[in-house]
Amino acid sequence: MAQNRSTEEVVAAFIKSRGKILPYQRVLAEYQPELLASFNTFYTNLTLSPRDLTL
Amino acid sequence: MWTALVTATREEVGRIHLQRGIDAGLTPEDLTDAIALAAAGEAYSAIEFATNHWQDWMSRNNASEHYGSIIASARGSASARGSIEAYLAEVILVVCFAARHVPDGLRFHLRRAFEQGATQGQIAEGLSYLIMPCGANTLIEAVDVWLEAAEAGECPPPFTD
Repeated sequence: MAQNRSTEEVVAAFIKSRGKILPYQRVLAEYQPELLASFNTFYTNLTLSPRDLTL
Repeated sequence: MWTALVTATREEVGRIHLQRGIDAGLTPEDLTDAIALAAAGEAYSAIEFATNHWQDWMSRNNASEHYGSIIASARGSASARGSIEAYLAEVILVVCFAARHVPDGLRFHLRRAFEQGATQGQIAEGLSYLIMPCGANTLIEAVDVWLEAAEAGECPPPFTD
């Protein structure tokens, strides 16, 4: 769970998975790590994972 | 927070958040105070206009005094709970201005929020609510404004690395 990891660990894991971290994601990593994790999952399913309309 | 946010964004379907507030123990007067606070924040643009164009009649000090009075009045005191706490009112207005894409107003209330004792975590939580009614791009913009304000020495930064 993100809440059991340090901010540095959350940031490092995010950068490892996405290649970079934007300032708003950095803020969420600092203060709302659970929200960052769930939003990242939502975002990935919405925009990155292949779906029917994917080119 | 949610009541003010969906007022600022004119999200009528956001009424679900008002009912949740009542279910959580808020009074109808608490909700009307939050609505009034969001509405009062919209006075900022009119006063800023006057300050920018009619400085002989509306100085920066006058503007700050008048706008501050409007905000203080809107925080309300109608309910048994009392008025919205000063720090919370400022955090609410930070979020409302972020939602409406008004960066100078956002910076104005960021400074005041920290002056009233708000924490970075409280600001971050408030801004995170933007994701649902406004989308992540609005949150991106708000955090960028926060970074600019911090770099200008107006408030603490959201993070330090």
